[in-house]
Amino acid sequence: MSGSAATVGGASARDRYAPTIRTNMRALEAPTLRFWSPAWICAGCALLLSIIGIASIGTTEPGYMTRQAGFLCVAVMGAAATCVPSYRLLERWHGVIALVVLGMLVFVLVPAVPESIVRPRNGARRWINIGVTDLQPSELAKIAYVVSLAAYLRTHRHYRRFWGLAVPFALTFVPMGLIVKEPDLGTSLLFLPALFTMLLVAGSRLRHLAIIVALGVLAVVVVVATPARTLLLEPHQIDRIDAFYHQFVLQDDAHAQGIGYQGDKAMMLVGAGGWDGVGAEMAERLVDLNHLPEERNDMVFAVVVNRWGARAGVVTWILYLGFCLGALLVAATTSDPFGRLIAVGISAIVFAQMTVNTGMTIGVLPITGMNLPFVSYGGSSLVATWLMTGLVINIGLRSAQFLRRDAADFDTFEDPA
Amino acid sequence: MDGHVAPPNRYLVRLALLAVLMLCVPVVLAARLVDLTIDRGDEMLARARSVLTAEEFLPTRRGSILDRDGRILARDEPGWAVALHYDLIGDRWLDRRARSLAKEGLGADVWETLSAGDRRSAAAAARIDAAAERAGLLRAIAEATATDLADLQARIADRRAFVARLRDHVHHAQRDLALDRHLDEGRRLKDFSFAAGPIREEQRPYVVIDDLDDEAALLVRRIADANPAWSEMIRVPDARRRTYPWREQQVEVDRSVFPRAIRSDTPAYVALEHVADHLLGGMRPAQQPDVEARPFRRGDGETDLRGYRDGDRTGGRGIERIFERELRGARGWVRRDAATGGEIERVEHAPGRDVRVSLDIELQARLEALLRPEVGLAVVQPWHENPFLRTGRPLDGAIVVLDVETGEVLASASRPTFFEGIERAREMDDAEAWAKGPLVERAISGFYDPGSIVKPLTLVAAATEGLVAPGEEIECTGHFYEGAPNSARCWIFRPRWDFQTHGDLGPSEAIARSCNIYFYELAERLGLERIERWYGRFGVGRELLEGGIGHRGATPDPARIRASGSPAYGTIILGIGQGGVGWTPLHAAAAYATLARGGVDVGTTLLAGRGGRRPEPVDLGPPAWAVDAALEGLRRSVSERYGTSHHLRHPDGTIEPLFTCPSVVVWGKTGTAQTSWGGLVNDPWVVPTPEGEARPAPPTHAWFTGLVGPEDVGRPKYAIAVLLEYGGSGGRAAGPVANAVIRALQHAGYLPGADLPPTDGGAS
Repeated sequence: MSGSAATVGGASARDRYAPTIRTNMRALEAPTLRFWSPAWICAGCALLLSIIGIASIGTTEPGYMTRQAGFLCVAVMGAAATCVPSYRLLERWHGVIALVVLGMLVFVLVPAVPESIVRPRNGARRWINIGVTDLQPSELAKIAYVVSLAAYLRTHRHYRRFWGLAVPFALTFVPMGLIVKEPDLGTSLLFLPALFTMLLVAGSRLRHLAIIVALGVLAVVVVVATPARTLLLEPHQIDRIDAFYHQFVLQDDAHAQGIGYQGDKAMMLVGAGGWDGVGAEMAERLVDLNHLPEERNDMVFAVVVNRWGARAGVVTWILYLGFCLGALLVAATTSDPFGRLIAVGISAIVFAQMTVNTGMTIGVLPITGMNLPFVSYGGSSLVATWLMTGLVINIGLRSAQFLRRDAADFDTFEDPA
Repeated sequence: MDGHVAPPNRYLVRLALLAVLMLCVPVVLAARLVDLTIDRGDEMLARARSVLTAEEFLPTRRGSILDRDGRILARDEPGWAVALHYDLIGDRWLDRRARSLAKEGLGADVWETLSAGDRRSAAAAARIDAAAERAGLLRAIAEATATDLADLQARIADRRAFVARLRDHVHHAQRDLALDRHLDEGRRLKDFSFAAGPIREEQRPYVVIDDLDDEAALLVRRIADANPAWSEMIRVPDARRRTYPWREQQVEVDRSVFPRAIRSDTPAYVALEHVADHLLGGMRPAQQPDVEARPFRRGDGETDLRGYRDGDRTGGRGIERIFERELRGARGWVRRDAATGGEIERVEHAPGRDVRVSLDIELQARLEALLRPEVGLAVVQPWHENPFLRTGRPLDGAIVVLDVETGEVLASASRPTFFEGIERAREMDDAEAWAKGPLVERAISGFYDPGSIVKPLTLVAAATEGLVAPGEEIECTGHFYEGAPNSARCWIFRPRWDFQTHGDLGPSEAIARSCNIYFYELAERLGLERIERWYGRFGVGRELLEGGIGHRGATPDPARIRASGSPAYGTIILGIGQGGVGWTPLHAAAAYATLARGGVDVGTTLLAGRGGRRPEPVDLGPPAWAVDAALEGLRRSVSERYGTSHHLRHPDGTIEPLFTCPSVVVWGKTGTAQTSWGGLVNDPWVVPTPEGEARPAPPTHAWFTGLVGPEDVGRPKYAIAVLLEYGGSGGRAAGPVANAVIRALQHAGYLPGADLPPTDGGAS
């Protein structure tokens, strides 16, 4: 648009009119706030899930409940703060944000960084000590990635062609690669569902996506089920896949005392919950005396079902569906492609994380280190997911704008010229 | 366009597609959740709850074994054991300890930063230290418990091997099961994989040392408490120990009734270390077959408090084994809250029942002393005139004493004892051990040809069958078959005695003189089948004691004898207890007791008062004259100068009476039973056969079987059987032992006359 202004009146005209045009554009871009938005569904679900999380954490260790409640206050305030400036600022700053986050992802991997700042845990370099707490850049990377990809897809059309998908995939593999290196395979894998759903709603051809998915499945089969796995996977990863195979497919307890211990205990406590749950006191004892590993973090869903029963599991899933479908509704009711893509990306990440976490807890997926968004204990993760929630609210609150370009929209579904 | 651009349809369709996909996922997850919580919820809850309480079992007290007078022969005493967790026995503790040593060495801070691979390498390096720590721990335990370290290590290796075997077995079974299921589901064999997990036996402690006193137990507890890394691995469970207070005894042996060459007015004192060890038996740890026979955890998941767990104590042999069910008792049981340790439920243990056996432990010791070689009776002596063993060779053997009225076993002594047998077995190869049977309890399991001691029984059998008339005389012609003086001879028909014969003999005299021809004749009249039947009626081929211990003996096999070259000869020699029949000293005593009861069999028992059960007497139905004649024959055998049990002839030609105990009447019969050379292989005491000469006649076992009663009562009260293996002549070798047995019965208060001197003991 600024280009067309320059051609109208030359350099002097541009100088003269530019401030006016900018003012007018700002006026056009200024938020037209609407308070009735599906984003509130997301906020409500997120709040309820966070409360379920706090109560579950209280079941395992009352002390942590207070801390998690504190984290929640911070997270909600963070989310509220996220709502205030229009998310469209991100479109302008996404490059900077992406660079900062990538910088942090690289930073944790630099061996020269002293251990007082990047403290490895279990051999993994994931956290930066920022004094008050540890910051996990990969949590921020999820947000930065969604924003950057949305900004990219909003301004480009190559992804309608098969080889045009190469750029979005390349953009995805950069943070994924860095996070895998930490190592944190679980978190890195979350980028893929976000990529696919964003490409889907941005207008990529379904058959292209289908081909890639098919190739991906083939690759996974080759890696998991053929001798090639010994070359490509770590021994503990192979063990976990074997344990999963025994636990879910063969339904035996051959690994119950070894590598499958965590999964076996989680499944047992889930099953023990029955429909109605065993209640707070019994759940506390069962979880404690059965030595469920990671009971506040990755395995918190087992605590939820154990305490309140399968119905609580169902309610939890309904709340996640509420959050994710709410985000999709936000995407549906926003005509701004940038906001749409962000909402869809966030929805996909939360949904994928929920599926992998609860799936492994009930034994339909192999064990991988991944927490349950909103519910699991931990400041970084809670703040990050609430920031995402704030972003969705932000998008939901700002209605569609007149004069916006219809990228990733109706007409772009046609083949590019 | 009115300002807002309506979202395009295709975009919404894709959002809707996404929404539908999202809706599908929880449906799949919910199906699994229902399976876990609703379908398998109870099972899962039960599993989860199983950790809420901790079960602890309370040891029971095994019943005591008492002798007939109430003396405690075996009892449980408080004691402790050392149990090591399988983690320590196997390698899991070592791995864990190596890891934590590596962590300590590097510091927790550094450890935190290591990757899994680096941690493994560090732990592998620390394994040597961990192994040294374990070795030190075992050394300390061995020292504290005064156990041989090599022994302890062997026991640990044993446990390890046991669990390894079991694990292989379980995994094999699990694998087969999984494979069956895999194939049943129509899947291909090459897709099959099986991952074996740890078995339950790898998750519990094993007793490696037991029989500890309080002090040793305390020391081991201190060792365990000294290091937190050990405390979980070492248990000191309350494990009662079995003690046998009468096992060691000092016995006074009255030598005044011994043959003159070894006679003395001063008693001999014999220290015995293992009195009645064969019969009382002992304990051993329960093994897989015991556990399978009565498992502590039954297949249905219930607990049998009387059942066995691997490593439990169980009666290993003898009375401890026979009466295991009565003695064992039931464990108690406590269920505690796992978190608080508070007691939720308690079942007290049920102590085992005491068992009162028929033995008189003091008499038992006296009789065992008589079999000790240093006493002089169970040794080849010059007056034995043993043609195949040199003088001074100790003789194995057995003595059994039964109460005639009740059939109770008062004493049953055997040599070698169990422990002597173990010592001897160590120096034998399998073939020699098989031939000599060092662990065989001679009194109840030794298997011998009866020889002449069956002669009174042959008479009773023939009389009952009506094949011999009262007072009927049979002529002894020296040899049974006319014109064949070298076959089926009477013992007296020898060049040494100028081929004498007994002439016409009535039944009593035939027994007293032990005439072979008389009993050949009766055996011929009886025939094979009836002889077999009658041996059976006198107990041969039957289990005589509770729990089936002891040898049954073997009745003759008519088919085999008929198939032999000379069935007629095979038949007649059965009349004198040779050829194809075998029994134990207990059988001999029991048969004589039956005879003494007038042919009424009440069986034999190891329980005093038969444990309250009444025996069912079986009357063999012999005519009274036959029983009287048999007893009269036995009495004359002892009392008349021509009787074979009357006197002992010394090499110098002088004689002395065999039975010299005052105030008693003895009915008895000697027996000299032919046997094979098998039991004498590698025996340095065997008289060498001169080069070029055939071996002399087969060696013989020496028997004496008899009855004894107080003089004033005039009827038999106790039945006695004495056997000396390869003792040569029954009268010369076994007879003096029987006399000493009667003296021992007097000293033990069973017969009068203990305070009186022997009758004409010095006569020659």
